[in-house]
Amino acid sequence: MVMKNFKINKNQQPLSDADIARGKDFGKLVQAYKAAKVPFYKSPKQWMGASSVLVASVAAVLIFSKINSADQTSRPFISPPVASADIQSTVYVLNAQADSTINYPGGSKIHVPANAFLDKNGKIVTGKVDLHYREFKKVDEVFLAGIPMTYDSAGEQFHFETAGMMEITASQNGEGLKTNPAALVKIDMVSANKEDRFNTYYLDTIEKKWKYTTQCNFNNANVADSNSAPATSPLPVKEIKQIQNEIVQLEKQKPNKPKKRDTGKPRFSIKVDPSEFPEIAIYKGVKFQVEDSSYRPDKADITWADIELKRLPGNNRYQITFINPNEKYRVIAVPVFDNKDYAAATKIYGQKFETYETALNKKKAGEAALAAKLKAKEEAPKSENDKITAAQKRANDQWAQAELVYRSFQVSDFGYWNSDHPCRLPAGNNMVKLNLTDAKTGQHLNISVCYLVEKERNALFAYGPKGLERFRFDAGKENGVWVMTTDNRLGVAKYSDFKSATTKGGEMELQLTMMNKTLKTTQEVKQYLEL
Amino acid sequence: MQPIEARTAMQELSGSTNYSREEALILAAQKDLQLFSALYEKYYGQILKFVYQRVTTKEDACDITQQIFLQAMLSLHKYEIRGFPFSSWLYRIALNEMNQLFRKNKKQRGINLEEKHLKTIVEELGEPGDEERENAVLAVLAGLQEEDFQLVEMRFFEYRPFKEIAEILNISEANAKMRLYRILEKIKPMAEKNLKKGL
Repeated sequence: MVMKNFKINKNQQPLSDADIARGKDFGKLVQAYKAAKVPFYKSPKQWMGASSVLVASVAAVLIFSKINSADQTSRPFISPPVASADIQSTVYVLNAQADSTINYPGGSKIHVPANAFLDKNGKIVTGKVDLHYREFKKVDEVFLAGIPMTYDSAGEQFHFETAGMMEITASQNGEGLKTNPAALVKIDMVSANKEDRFNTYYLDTIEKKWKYTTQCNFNNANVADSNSAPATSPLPVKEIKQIQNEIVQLEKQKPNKPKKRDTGKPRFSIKVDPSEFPEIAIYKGVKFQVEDSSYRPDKADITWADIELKRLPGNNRYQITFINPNEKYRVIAVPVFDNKDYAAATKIYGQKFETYETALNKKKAGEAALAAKLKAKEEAPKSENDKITAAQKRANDQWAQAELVYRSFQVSDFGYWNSDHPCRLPAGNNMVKLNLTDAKTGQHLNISVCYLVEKERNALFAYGPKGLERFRFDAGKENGVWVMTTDNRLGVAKYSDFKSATTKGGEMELQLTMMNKTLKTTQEVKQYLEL
Repeated sequence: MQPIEARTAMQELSGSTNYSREEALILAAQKDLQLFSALYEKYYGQILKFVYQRVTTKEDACDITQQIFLQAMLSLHKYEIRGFPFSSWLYRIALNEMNQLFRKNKKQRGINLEEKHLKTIVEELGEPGDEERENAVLAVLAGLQEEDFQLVEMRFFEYRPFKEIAEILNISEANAKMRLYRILEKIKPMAEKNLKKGL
């Protein structure tokens, strides 16, 4: 039916959930976004308004980003530069059917609920389980573990600054295990960074990219104290509070028992918005019976332009306001049913009440279980896992001195997690072609990757071989460099080396100290990497 | 896993912490567009339904909805938090995009009409609900200006509260009510006239 300004489609087929799911495609949207965002140097309007110098500089940055980005994709995904110096995991043997709290050296806590592991068939694992855990708090550890530190956001490449990373996996008899969505492991990882600009990311090793999961989540717990005290996890306390709030909210949703109309009282019907008043919309044949003395028969004959319905606190009462441009009339009413609708309403009420009661009982049982769990934790003797060796304590001395916080992770999948902040390459004015040579032999070095490290910033800025042609750094900062050559050798330029490097005609000559192949252990290589 | 919320980037922006989760998500998405996926997930269905109400085919509705979210993504950096729902901003973009598309392609804008919609309006006009009268009202509706019809459509076809209509059209709630009552007052005699003409 075509009429005047609009095309009328009568009783068009409604949209189903499947239609909605079919149409949704965020990847396609991102592609369209990239295509729609015309680069500055391609826009004629921008060309006209900008000076040629500025355009040349912006174009150079864009071209540079492209070159650098291409370099990164050709590198192996997770590639520890020195296999023997990779950061080692600590393995904990746990009873899969019991709650456990592990105190990791340095203060991090791993809360493992009972039944947290599933086998490859999705069945809950019983018996002993090996839990493997390691942390990477500083960039040298991230570098040694070969973890990628770039993050793609809508096609734009960022570099991670980290407030801490970790890897957690589990196995039984050598078989990898999966997480149980109904009983997730929670980790309170100690971090020396108190800033709230760090998000939580998970490394998807199939798609080969970091994925954002949640916002920054940390608290200022006294980590130093928790090292020596038995584990009294704050988790159950929080959970109890949460479940108590949920109970309060649920009780507000208690369905109202249908009421039969009183023969002597006036009543009327109005249409209600089901989304605003679901408690009324579930019933058919609801009438509103006036409960106060405000009823005036003459108002019943007026045609009202609008009606406002407001839920009143207490016993299933509503305030109804009839509105015309020049007049308002208000009554207090309760929903009632005529005899013919009452039986059906009672049946619906029975069903809804049962659902409500079941949900409420479940929540209350959950509350009781958590309270018992908390009590048990408080009374439990100190476990083996709480003991920290003197050597481990020494290794964490620097962390013990810092002001530490816990960053929390809900481990929905085993693997790598971080609390990081994506940032761009250093924004200084210096851009050079970086030539790298072996300080001992003077030979030119062909690199597979070069990491720029700024002092006092826990970030790795990755440059591929082509990226070195347009190497940016902030001359106002102390900079160091770690490189991996194409023949798998490590090279270092310390802050002092970088500072004294000569720059001529836009090219910087930087000499690197190559690693002696006799260095094998993590500690030895870490020492070598010191800037 | 889809992101469900974003870090509270508000302190960097204003030093204030009085942001809802959604507002925090918007602020974070302004800095990291990958986070826009959470907003896309949340509002895609609503916006698709809104568009489908106004076009003829599901395919058109899906294409236009993608276009709306693209526009939202491109303009997200300009979005300011002023206490209104993010959905209102998306609906406004949707209305603009659709107006532009209809104008550009010289296409007639659609109305996805169910029988109950007409009955609701006829009841609202205080008239007895028979088929003749419904057709007469329909003829008036089809001749309304777009901005008048939008109000009728949102209120009586989509059952939106005045508050939301006001937010979408960026007018006050009182103004939305007043404009709608005036439109209804205008429709009533015109429908009556149509009825007499036998439309």
